[in-house]
Amino acid sequence: MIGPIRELGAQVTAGVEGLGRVARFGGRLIAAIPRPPSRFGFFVRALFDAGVLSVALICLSGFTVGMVLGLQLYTTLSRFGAEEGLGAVVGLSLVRELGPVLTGLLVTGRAGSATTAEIGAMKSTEQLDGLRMMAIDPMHFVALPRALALTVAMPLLNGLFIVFAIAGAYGVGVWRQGLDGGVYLAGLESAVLFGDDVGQSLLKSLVFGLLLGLISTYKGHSCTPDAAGVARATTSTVVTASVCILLADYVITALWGV
Amino acid sequence: MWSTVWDQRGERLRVGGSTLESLAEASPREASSRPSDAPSVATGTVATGTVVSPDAFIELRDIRLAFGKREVFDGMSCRMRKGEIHLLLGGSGTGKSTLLRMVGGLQRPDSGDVRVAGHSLPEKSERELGEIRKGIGMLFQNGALLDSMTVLENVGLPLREHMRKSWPEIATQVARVLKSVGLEGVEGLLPRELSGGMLRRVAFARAIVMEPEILLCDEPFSGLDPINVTRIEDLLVELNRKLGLTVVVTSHHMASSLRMANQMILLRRGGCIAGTPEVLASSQDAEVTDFLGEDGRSYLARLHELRGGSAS
Amino acid sequence: MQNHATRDLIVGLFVLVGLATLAYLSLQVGGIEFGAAKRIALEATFDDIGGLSVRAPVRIGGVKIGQVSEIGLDEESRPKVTLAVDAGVAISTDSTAAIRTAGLLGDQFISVELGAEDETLQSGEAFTYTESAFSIDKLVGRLVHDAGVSD
Repeated sequence: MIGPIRELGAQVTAGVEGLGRVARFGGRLIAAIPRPPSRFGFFVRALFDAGVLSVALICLSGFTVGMVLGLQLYTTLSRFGAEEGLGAVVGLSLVRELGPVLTGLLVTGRAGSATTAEIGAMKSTEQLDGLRMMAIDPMHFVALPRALALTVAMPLLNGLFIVFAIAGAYGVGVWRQGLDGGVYLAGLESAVLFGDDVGQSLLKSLVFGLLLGLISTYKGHSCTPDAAGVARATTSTVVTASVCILLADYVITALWGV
Repeated sequence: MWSTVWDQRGERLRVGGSTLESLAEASPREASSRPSDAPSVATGTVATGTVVSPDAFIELRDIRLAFGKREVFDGMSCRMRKGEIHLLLGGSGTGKSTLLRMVGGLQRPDSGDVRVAGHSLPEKSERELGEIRKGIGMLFQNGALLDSMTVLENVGLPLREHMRKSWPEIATQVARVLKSVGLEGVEGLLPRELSGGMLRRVAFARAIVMEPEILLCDEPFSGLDPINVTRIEDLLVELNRKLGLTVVVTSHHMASSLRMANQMILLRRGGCIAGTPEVLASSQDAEVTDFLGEDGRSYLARLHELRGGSAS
Repeated sequence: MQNHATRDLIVGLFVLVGLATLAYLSLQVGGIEFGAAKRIALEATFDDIGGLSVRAPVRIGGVKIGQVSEIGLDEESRPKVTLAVDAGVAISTDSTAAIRTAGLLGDQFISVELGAEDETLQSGEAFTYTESAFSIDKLVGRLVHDAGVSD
């Protein structure tokens, strides 16, 4: 009887300890931001890896999701004779939820895992220790530019995703189903508001980017320095970041007030 | 911080020019100012207010360390003299690399003290350690070069970070250091485009580019061909003799390491046995003789003859 | 760092395109207006607001002049709606605020029917005349009731 309870206690303790370590890591990252020298070159490089290399995936996924939305919603709406609502429904669902969440999950798989794997590999080949021996803080040199790049890339990719999805839904709704293009765009523009919808979208993607940047660099830095350890850390980044993104999505939606 | 240590001790190791200039030109000015085997300063006061004897330039006191259930050190103590070459020996798992990492401040012992130039490393913060590490060069076993950066960027990185030099200046200096390890025209290559031996030498160049006072080398000779073993060996000895560089080496390459070592430290069962090569060669301790083996002892005996018993 | 001109250019393009999409979403789709026309708050009390919700448009003759900014109850627990209306629109004091429905199932909005007075409503003032929501439930209920009576 005591065994399982003790097990539970150990799990909870480990979980809280883990949270504490992540928080401390985040604190050290933030403290490293103003410290010279500037790592702008590395930041640009990381932005290339995290952002530019994700563009094709994001655009393609966005367009496909938009096409599916167009098809599904048009069919459903036409049953009520409310096809004109397509733009509004597509726009609201994309801007508020699907855009930031799907972008977050896709970037987690594409760039978050790569970040963890790269830092983990650097750790297991003693590159991080090498930096420390050169009196260079790996936190400042390796983790910070990558975490910032993910934070910056996420809202930009989110915008790309939404625009491509709107285009995808336009393609299906207007060209395939014969809805009037003007009606679609007018519905979209009247339903989506800057403050409540686009603002929420931006906030969400920014928070998701921060979470992913923190989690992926932390997992890389704290992995066991061998091949299996790097593999575990990479998987753990994808799982943890995905769950955190979905949880944060709920929290932001609830706090914002629908 | 590091330089203050030296100024207060009345010794200036970094006299004019760079280490590598002096290597290339071997100017008498450099030679005359070298403090290496001139123990004129017996003791000195460092910034921390403690007294450092050159005999205990690097000192490990009563070190205990365990990785999980595996106990590596159990009350190990040893001292390393300033300006000498120290050879760490021991079978695998006896903690050779761990000892190097402790001297570099990368590994904290569970208990005990690690003192480098009077600084007690275990109680230092990472930032304070950074200052101390500016005086320490470390060659990692597999190089630890940053694989996304070119050779030039790798070797020039410490110069860029700490000296704030421009890239053309850095390029000139890096080319000179690379030449001293026998490499030319590799600046634009990435680490993955180098052979194992080249990689090792680039890493060696990076370890000495800041002209450190202490050089820690983890297996510097493994994977090198005989020509390059000799080259690195000569370079180490030269740095040591000319500039008083304190070197700590782990190696399996008996012949070369024995030839240059001033002190040998044999790690075993949580502790160590230390002494000059001659002392260890004549040791009757079963473990020592076992480890050195017949070849090692005969080599040492020959070396002893060669040196005519006069070398320290 | 060495020269990475091409990569830097691509990253720059990426940032620009990303910002452009966000600008499109904010300005065109989201309809943010810089230096947006000032709005005044008008109040209107109804018996029943039906399915009216915050952000529902306020129109005059079909032209949007503002939106519902707040819905609550007044001191006598009657539904009170606050409207944010473009300041430039002159609404005479005897105008009527009516809750109307767009289409059979469509959203509800507030239609302002202008009166004849010269004086206009100022910020914070309330409509004197209002017309409550006209709901299908009630309509159907009344039809059924009427049918029952006539039988």
